[in-house]
Amino acid sequence: MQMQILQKKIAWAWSALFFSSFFIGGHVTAAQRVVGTPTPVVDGTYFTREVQPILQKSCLGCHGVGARLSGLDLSSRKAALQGGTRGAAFVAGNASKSVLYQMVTGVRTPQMPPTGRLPAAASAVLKKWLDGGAPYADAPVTTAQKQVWWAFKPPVRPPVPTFGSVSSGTTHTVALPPKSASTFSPAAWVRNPIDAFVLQKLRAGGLTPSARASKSTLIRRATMDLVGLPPTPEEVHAFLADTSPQAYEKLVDRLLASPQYGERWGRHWLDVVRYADSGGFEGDRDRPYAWRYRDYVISAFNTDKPFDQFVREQIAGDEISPTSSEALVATGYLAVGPQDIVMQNPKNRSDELDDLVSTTGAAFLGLTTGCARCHDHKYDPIKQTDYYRLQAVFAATERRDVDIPTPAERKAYDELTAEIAPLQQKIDGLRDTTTKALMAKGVAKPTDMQILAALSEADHKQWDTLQSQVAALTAKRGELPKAQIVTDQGKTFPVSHVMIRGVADHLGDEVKPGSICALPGGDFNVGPEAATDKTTGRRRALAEWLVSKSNPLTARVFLNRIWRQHFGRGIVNTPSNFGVSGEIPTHPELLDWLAVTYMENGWHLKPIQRMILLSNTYQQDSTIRDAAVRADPQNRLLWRMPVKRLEGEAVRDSILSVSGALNQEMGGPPVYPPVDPSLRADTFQGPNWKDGEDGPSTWRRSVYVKVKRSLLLPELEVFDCPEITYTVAARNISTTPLQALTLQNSPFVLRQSELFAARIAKEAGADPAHQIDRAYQLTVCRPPTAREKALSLAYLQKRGATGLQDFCHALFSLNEFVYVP
Amino acid sequence: MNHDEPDGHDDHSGPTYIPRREFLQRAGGGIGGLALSYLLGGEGLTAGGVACADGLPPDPLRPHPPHFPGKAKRVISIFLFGGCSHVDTFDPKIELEKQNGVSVAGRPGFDTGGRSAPGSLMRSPWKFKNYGKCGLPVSDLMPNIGSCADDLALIRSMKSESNNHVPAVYHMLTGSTVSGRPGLGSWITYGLGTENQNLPAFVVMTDPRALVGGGAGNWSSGFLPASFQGVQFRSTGLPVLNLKPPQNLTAEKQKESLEFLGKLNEEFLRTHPGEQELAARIRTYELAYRMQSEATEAVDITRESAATQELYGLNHTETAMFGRQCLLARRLVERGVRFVQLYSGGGVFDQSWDAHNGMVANHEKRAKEIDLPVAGLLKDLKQRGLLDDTLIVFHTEFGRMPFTEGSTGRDHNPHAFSVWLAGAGVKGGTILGSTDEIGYKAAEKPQTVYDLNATILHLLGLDHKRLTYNYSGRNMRLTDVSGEVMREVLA
Repeated sequence: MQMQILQKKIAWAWSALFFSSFFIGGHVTAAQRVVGTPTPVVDGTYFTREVQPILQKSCLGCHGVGARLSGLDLSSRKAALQGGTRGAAFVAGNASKSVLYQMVTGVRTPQMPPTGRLPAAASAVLKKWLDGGAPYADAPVTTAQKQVWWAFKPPVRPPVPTFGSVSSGTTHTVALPPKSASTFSPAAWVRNPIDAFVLQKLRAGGLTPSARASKSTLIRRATMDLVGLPPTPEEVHAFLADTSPQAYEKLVDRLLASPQYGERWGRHWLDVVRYADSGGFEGDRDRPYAWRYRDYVISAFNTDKPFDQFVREQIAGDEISPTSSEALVATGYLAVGPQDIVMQNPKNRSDELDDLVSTTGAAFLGLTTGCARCHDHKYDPIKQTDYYRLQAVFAATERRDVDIPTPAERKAYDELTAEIAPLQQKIDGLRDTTTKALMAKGVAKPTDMQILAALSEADHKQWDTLQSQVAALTAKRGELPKAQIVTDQGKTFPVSHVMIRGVADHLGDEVKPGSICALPGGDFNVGPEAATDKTTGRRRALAEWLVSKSNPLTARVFLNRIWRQHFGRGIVNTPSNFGVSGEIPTHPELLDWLAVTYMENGWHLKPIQRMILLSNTYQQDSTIRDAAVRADPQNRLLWRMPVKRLEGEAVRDSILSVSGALNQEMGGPPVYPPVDPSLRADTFQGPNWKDGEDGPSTWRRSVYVKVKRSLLLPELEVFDCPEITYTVAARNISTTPLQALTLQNSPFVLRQSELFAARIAKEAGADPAHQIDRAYQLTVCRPPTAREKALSLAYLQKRGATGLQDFCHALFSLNEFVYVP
Repeated sequence: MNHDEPDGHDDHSGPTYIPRREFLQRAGGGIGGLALSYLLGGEGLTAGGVACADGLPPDPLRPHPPHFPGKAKRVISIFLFGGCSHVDTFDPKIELEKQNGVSVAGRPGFDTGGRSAPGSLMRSPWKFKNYGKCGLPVSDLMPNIGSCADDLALIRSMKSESNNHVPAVYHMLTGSTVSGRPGLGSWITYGLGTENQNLPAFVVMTDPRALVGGGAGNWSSGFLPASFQGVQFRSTGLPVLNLKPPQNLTAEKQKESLEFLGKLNEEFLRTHPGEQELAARIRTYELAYRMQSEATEAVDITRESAATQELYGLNHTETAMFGRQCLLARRLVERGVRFVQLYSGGGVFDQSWDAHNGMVANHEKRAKEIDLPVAGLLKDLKQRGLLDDTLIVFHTEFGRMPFTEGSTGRDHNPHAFSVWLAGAGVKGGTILGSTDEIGYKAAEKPQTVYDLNATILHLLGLDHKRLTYNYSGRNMRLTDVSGEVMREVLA
């Protein structure tokens, strides 16, 4: 039934992809659609061409043969006139008296469609059609297309458009000729397949790409993007001085190989997997080993771990490689979600499992799986039974703290244990003989004090020596590294049930562990034969399905997240919703080409990102062109590189880097930069924040700052670092006065300004002109303009003794410092 | 949970909010240079921030019209953390007097959801008196609030979905037992914006002694943009974190710095024409500058008369702290802040209203701290005419059991508790719903947290079904898929 809904929606989606004018700006205007054609007659053809796409996109998903919500079916004229609970859908020949028109225009509630008001042009088409008698075409709309929603079909590598003398874009019509067609050479511009796909859409939209950005813009953009820190003036200088054609390529390769790359891109993934160092809820207890999973993620990006392996390890590392510490740590993915530890009852357990199902569905499949907890999904083919099949996959899981030594650590530990043993034996021997002697003298149960007193002087000395040796060796041995992992309670687990309306103690039909049946291969069932030595094998089965080549979503969804980070918007701009209620892709062929290439080349990300960064698409200038912004205000077709706001982490890290204070140490337990006393509080487990020093030990990259669910570091929170309970598909970007207050007055920023000024004084000497140059180079990676320099000189002079520090402080508030063109 | 719309549709014709980024992208078009001197020199903005002659996008916090005319323009939420006992404050139970001491241990139908073992029925240690023309019974714990009885609409049949503090607090304050949802104040400022851009739209004052369970999760903007996040006002020192520049920076020097910064930013904008987000960011520096003086002035209670200070209990040790918060709440709503939330209690057990260890020691102390200040706030708002368009919500996360935990304590009771509303649009002197004869469960007209939140929104002119935000493929609501406005409490 759900599939039918999709099939109806799909027709619109696919037709729109090739209908360029429809595409730009998200909706069509009547003027665009009828340009150059005579006023259309309202007939079956008009219906097919104009009305049907609107119905298919916005109405039939719920009011078609499949769903008939409120009893209404708009797929044929007869059914529409028969109507639903609110009466006939329309009065043929009179739009204003038609319920359908009243609801789409907001005259009558509820407003339809519920996901957002129709564009004025679409309402106008409906009005014209209804006023014209509401004719349908002969065939009911439902049979118009028998396609599956694009995202549910495995990607197939599409041909790369070519731009020789003949344009390959034969299926589209070019509404407007490229403005600078005489000077722009498509074949020369296209550097790799990404450019070819992007250019194809640009041309279809009557647009041309922007010119290449300046080299200083490019190095800042690429460096911020790949490692999240500004390039040093020396790096900029070397890049500008390198006039070889490979200069940019070398830059990109250097950045991709930098360990800071993993810190930057690992952080993006940590958003998706709702990473935190505490458990949330009452007490918000610290999870002392959560950071091991964070370090695993950073390392996975740095080593370019194949994504299929990355997925397998996170979902089922304990089942796939039970002896590998790395794989065990990876299951931290399953452990880092919030947990209410005060009470354990079926509702809480169901909430925990919901966290796993919803997060996994969103993170890997880009589906709003959680919507099917209480009922079948309203838009996507996810049955409530599918949801509980997924819950059953995770039903046997539990969190566990385990030792995860490396072989070397294990060896060292065992060696020390072996060293301690004979010493301890000697102590025990002394104790035994003395005890026996004392008991023979009538002491019933000799205490250590009595034993010690009874020892000869020599024995006493030996005793003391042995004890201190054991103590020293035990201290040296320490504890084995620990991690919080997730594994199954055992090889078997009781049968799972649907929970009716999502209520934990209201059990419905039995379900077998599996996934979403409507997706290719998703109808698998995990039986008892899947069990491993210690686990049910259910998660391993899910992981294998997620990364199978026939899975239509995993690669697309992941690459789309990567694309979104680079370009500020996704090819699918709802990164965790590839379903029918999500946005349709702007460049579906490109996404498929990337996904297939990715899977065929071993799921390695760095080559894909290298291709993205080397594309001319990425290297475009970000200047707004009037004609282009009018045609495509949201830059969906990528006619320029957008100016991107830095995330909270990148703002803080950039400040530390510019001041010279950044401690680049990698990994390990989280650090606690000091917070204002008013934010500290006592909880069940003591203080909620362990204030560290405002010094080098906390001047680490923000990915290593404690992520406390009930208290985010204010400097990060104010710049939209999310309160991590659920998976975060895309951070908000807000601009608030509190951000201004933070950059102007927070003790952290003031201290860094001081250090920045000291650095400038040291590196640029006493000449204000040199100081200004150096400070601009450090913050925005370019020399100041003449006007900026003049303003700065005047300011420095006016401020006197505090001038340099005040000047450095002001630069942290520059728009250009937090926005990267 | 019940779905109130059989076809799952909401009516989304309410005030449409366009996320800033989206707006900027849609707005497109070049705006060229920006008159920064205009922004930095004096009256660059109207208080509402709607003047966009300079081509700037409207601020997300600009005032939005409600869905329909609402009586309330602003809200003060007074939240008692830990679980205030209804049977000891607003819900007298004669049956508890009669059956005092009768053991319910092991009796079917009495349990604490797996928490403590039920002991014996326990009468309230406090006497009740009838107050006002309406004759509302209030216990001796809250005589001053009792004296405002004719202004209160008491809801006695509240229920919660959790019997643990944090989920129940999240439920009451964000609509969901799980964190990550926008707070009540976030939803309201998202729906209505604010009347004063120079102060935060949603202000939170926590108990300075200990933090409420769930912490900032209770006033986080969740999936809404950070503009709608609650801003903590501190009880001492500067009201807002990082509000003031270091002391050695004079106002004049600060202005000089801002002008310098403005000119530099202008330079960048000149080379990036049309980037409206950059222009909008410049404006926030102006707002921040104004906030410094306005927020400082707002918390300066020294200018309040001696009589007013006395009214809020500022001259008594027990009441001074909460009295100050109540007085600040009045001063803030007076200045156009949309939503103020005050917390009584935090931390654990006797730092809050969580009277596991003994009712008397706990509630006596807590009630003493808030009774006079809350009544003072009601009276002060009334005499200033502010109660006509200010809504007061007095709530807690759950009630307490009619039977003992240990010898003199009471455990959490999610099946029944009392909250009250007062002020704008509220029918004073009313009682909605009731609990069973011992106060164990809501009996007549049970009310959910969704119902309460739907009512609060309704009083502000917001339809809880139309106040939505699309997130994760769904049109999210404060009231999820439930909620009925409590018609009985509307004036």
